[in-house]
Parts: sequence; structure tokens; C-alpha cells
Amino acid sequence: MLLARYPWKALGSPCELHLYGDSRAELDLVADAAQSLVARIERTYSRYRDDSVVTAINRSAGDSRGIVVDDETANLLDYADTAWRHSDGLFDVTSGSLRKVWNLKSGRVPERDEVTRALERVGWAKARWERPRLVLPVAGMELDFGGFGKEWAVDCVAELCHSRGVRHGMVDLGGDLRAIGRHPDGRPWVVGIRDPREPAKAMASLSLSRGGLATSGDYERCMVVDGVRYTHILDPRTGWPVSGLRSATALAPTCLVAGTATTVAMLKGERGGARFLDSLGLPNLRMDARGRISGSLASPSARAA
Amino acid sequence: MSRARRERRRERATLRALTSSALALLGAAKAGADTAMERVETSYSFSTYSEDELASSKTLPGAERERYSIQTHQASIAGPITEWLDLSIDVTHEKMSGASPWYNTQDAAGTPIQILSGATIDDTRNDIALHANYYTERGRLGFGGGYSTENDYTAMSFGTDGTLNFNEKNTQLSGGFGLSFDQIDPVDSDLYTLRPDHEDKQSYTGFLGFSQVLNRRSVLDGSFTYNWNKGYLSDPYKEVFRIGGIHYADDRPNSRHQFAFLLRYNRHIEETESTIHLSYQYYRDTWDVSSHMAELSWYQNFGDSFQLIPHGRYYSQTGAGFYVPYLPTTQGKLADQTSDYRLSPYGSISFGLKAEYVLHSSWLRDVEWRLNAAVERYHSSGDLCLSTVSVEAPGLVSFTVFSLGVRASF
Repeated sequence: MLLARYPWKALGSPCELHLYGDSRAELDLVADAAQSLVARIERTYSRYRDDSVVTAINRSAGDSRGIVVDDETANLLDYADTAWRHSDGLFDVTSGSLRKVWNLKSGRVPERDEVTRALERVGWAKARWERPRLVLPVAGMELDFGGFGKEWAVDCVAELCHSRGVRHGMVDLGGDLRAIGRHPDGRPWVVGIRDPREPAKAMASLSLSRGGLATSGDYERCMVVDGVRYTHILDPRTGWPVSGLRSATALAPTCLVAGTATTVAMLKGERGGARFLDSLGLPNLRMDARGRISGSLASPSARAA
Repeated sequence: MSRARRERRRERATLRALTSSALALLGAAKAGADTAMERVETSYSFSTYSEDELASSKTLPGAERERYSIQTHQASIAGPITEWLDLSIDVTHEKMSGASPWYNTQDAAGTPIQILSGATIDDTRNDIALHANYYTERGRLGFGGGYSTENDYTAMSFGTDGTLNFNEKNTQLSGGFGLSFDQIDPVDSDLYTLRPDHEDKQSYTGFLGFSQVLNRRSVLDGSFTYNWNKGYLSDPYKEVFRIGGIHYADDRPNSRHQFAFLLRYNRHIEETESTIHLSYQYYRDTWDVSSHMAELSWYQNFGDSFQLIPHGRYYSQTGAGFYVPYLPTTQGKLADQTSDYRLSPYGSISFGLKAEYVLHSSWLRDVEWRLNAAVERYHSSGDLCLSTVSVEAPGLVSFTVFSLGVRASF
């Protein structure tokens, strides 16, 4: 059995498939289908494309008739709704307009007023979701699938590879992972978790046999202004970037659930986030603001999963 | 409940909600993946089967009317051995008691009536079965064996079965072969001269099946089963009575070929969170018994943790060529003969309801519990037969089954 690697760039991140199979030609076909699938997801849910579903939804904001969405988008919104209800409103897909205010590439911290005004256009509670119709009643409200689109794509790719006969492989979309079985010889996949302050270095290595692994960190997309780090994870209640945990990693049956758990943990702050991950019962690892590592995967003996 | 515990329960509910929502998102399109079990599953169930008392009009005045009842305890454990191999063990303990149909005679009007065995039967059956599955890239190969013992009966069985997937798992072919060797040592054969001391029988079974995913919501299954029984196929505890007072042994041919065709259609209805299973089976054998069976089950989900399954089944069969309710005085012993109501022409109808509740506990480790309770009511009669039954077997049975079960996977 041969191992083929397919690195490429998608969803604004480096991505890689590691697939085992009997023939390179067959694996090429699987990888090709997987990359097309990721491209389709990116095209459909990008906020930056004029022809995307998300753009069409965002254009409908302010129209009380709302917009009727397709089945796949409806399923995603159902998921977002579930996550919102189970995270005390912290997981919120309507944070899009905050993203505009917090342009991390600009290196500028927005004025307090700007953030307050943007918050008026944030809140899943304001939206009316009656499948298949979504009404964003406030003009300027914007959905952002960035909080879970990549993790969902990981699961879709893993399912696709499995349905095409791949039994040993690993899907890596920008550090969000899903194992398709172990290595053929039974060894688990060994995964390095990036140190939030020295991204070239691993703060831990974990073994992954099946299921998904996701990491949220304050280092992924951020800006440092006057010594203060502003991360891309924005609190939908205050409109400000979170501080507390530097990073959170979790293992779950699917990458999507792992990603949602770590995002919510980051939003809950240092103590709340740690407690949230532990109480979910998901194997996890986190680094707090002082660089201390904790979580059920922190002790070396616990790192098999 | 402490605040911390309440909190933890709530968080577990969060994980469940997210996971089930994420899985729904990935679509139910995948046909069940063929991989070894990932968790250990263990189960226990208890059921009681009790036959209705024989109607007073169906037997002699003052005769035994109470029929059979069975209490069954069943336990199983199954789990992965390696990534490609899983193993399951099932054990059953049954306690049977009561009286069973012995022979028929006639009442004053010439209508057949049933005589039940006078002495109460008390028997226990113990059964153990092992099954191992080996999974490959293309399908599954299984091997199994079982051993069953009663006071008067011992059976040993072996089998192999497998599945092959095609068409991105949208099509599945299955097949299998099994054999069973049974030994019969009827009790009290010294008291009842018609009973043999020792007999044996063998059976050989083969089946071929297919399963086709039609679309995201529906699946069509079909199978053909062939079974060959040979050896002593009679019932040592039943007799054929010749009016006037002569008892003969139940005496059936020593070979029986059976053929069954089954077709099943499953459809999921997303709007109501339910799934219907519709099935039809046609059966015939070389004893001239042929039957039709139609069944409808409705799986109704209420949220993630509760399911109700009502079901109904209709069945109708023709009688065996050598079935006689009794022999008239003018008739001598036949080459093959039986008065067993199960080989008479009849029809039956049954209804049942099963409820299942799923809950999770996190003591020591995450365990999923499934509790279920079921009731089934079965009624058979000559009137329910598709063809007209002129003389109904008096022993036709009606029964009720209650069962309770628990299954844990961790």
C-alpha cells in the first residue's frame, strides 16, 4: 500500500491530504474530487465572492421577506442554531459586520463607537430562522461561516475519501484535522499542536486514530497594536476580540464538533473555557494567558486518542 | 442534584446536540459503513411468552386448558478485537412450562377438539452462540457457531456468511451457508411406546440477498433462502388419533425442502422523523405448505432519545398435504400423517408496540444506555386464512409477549 500526499492551498490556509491506497492513479482521482469539493464549499460560503450563497443572504438583510436557502445551507444554519443555543449565544454566525470593523490587516483598533454601532447588526437572536427561510431584519447584518466552514469541509472531505474506498488517511485543512482510520500498520497519526507564541514549534504532539481534531488560537489571524494582541475571535456580546486562552484543541467524533467546542472555549475565556471543554467530556489541550498548558491531553500518558 | 452535576449533564446534552446536528449535516446519504464495531455493546433482556387458555369449546369438558408459557433471559456482549475483527457472544436461558397440544378427537357434533398433554411440561433450554466478523475493504466475512441444550434436545450449528459492496456501497450482495445437527431424546419414552428413544436430524441452509440504496431516503432489500431438513422431522410429543381409540405416532416425511423469497422496502420520511419498513415474504416447501406474509413497521422518533415502533403482520398458509385433524374410524394409518395445528391451513395477525429510550451516563466513562419495552399480541384462526378452511385446527394458538431490555455501549 502506498502513501500519497496532496498539498494545496484553499480556504486561505495550507491544506494537505495524506491518503493510502493501492494505486497512485486511483488516489489522484480521490484527491482531485476532494479538492473540487473544498473549492465548491469555498465558492458557496465565501463572504468575499459576489456569487456566493452567503453574499446573497447578506444582500437580503433588511428585507422582511428574507431569503429561502437551499438544503445544504439550511443544514448549516440548523447546526449554527444548535451551537448558538448550546453556547449561551457565544457561537454566533451573524458576527459578519464585526469582521468589517475589525480589519486585522489594517493594524488599526476601531473606535468604541464603531464597535457599538456594528453590534446593532449582530445577534442570531435578531434573525428569524424558519427553515428554509432566513430573515435578517436589520439592514447591514452579515453572516460569516468562517467560524465553522473549514471544520465542516474537513468532515465532508473525510466522508468523501471514505466513500471512495480510502480506509487509511488524514485530512488537514489549515490545521483542522480528521483521521480516516489509522496508518495501515495500525499506528495512529501523530499530530503536532502549534505553540501559540512560537508557531514554528510544537507545544505538544498528540496521536489521533479516528475522528476530528480542531484548534482555535489567538495566533491564527491577529494584529498586535501597542503591545496588545487582537485576535480574530470576536465576542458577539461585546464586539471585542477575546483574551484569555491562547489556544484550545479538542478531539471529537467530527472535526466540526471539535471546532465548535474550541471556538466556544476561546470565547468563554480562561476559566470558563477550560471548564467548558472538560465538562463536554472531549479530550482537550489548552494554553492559558501565562503559557501554562492544561487539559486532559496535557499529560504525556494521556495523549493517545 | 448538585449544581456541578446539573451543569455537567447540560454540557453532555450540548455535545450530543452538536454531534447529532453535525452528523445530520453530513447527510444520511452514506449507506452503513462496513467496519468492525468501534464500541463494546452489552445487552440483557427478559421476556414472557404466554399462550391463551384453550377455549372450553375446543376441548373436552373438564380437560386441561392451560397452555404453554416461556420465560426467556437473554444476554449478549459484542465488541472489537482489532480494527478489522469483531466478536459477539449470545447466551439464552429459557424456562418453559405448561401443557401442549397432544392429539385431536371430535365432539358430539363431529368437530375436532384438542386434547392437551395432561402432565405439565417443565423444561429449560440453554443456548450459546458465537459470531465473528472479519472486515475487508470490500465487505465482511462472518463465521459463527452455536450450541443449544434442553432436557430432551441438543443442537449444534455452524455457519458462515458474508457481504460484498459495490457501486460506492449503494449496492450490497450477501450470502451465507449454515448447518445444524440436532439430537432428540424424548422424555418418558418408556411410558409412551409411540415415542422414539433417540432420533436425530440435520439441516442445511443457504441464502443469497441484495440491498440497494435507491436514494437518500429509501432502500430495497431482497433475499432468497433455501433450507433442507432431513432425518427425524416429526414431533415425538404429538399423536394422531383414530376415532374409536387408536393412537398413532406423528409421522412426517424424513426430508423437507423449504424455499423463501423476501422483499423489503424501507423509507425514511424526514418531515415527520419516521421510517417505514414494508416487507413481503412468499414461502413454499415440499410438504405442500405455502405461505404469504406481509409486515409493516413504523419507526417514529421523538427527538433524539425516544422512539416508538408500532408494527403489524399478516400471515396465511395452506396446510401440509398429510395434515389430518384426526383419522375417521374407516381410515387406517397413513404413510405420512400429523395433527399438528402448525401444519394445518390457517391465517394469523399480530400487532405490537415497542418503545425505546436512549440516555447517556458519564460515570467512569461515557456510556450510552438504551432501554426498551415491547408488547406483542398474536392471534391465529382458520377464518384469517386466504383460502377457505372448512375444518379449523382446534389447537390454533393466540399469545401475548411482553419484553424488557437494556443495552449499554461504551
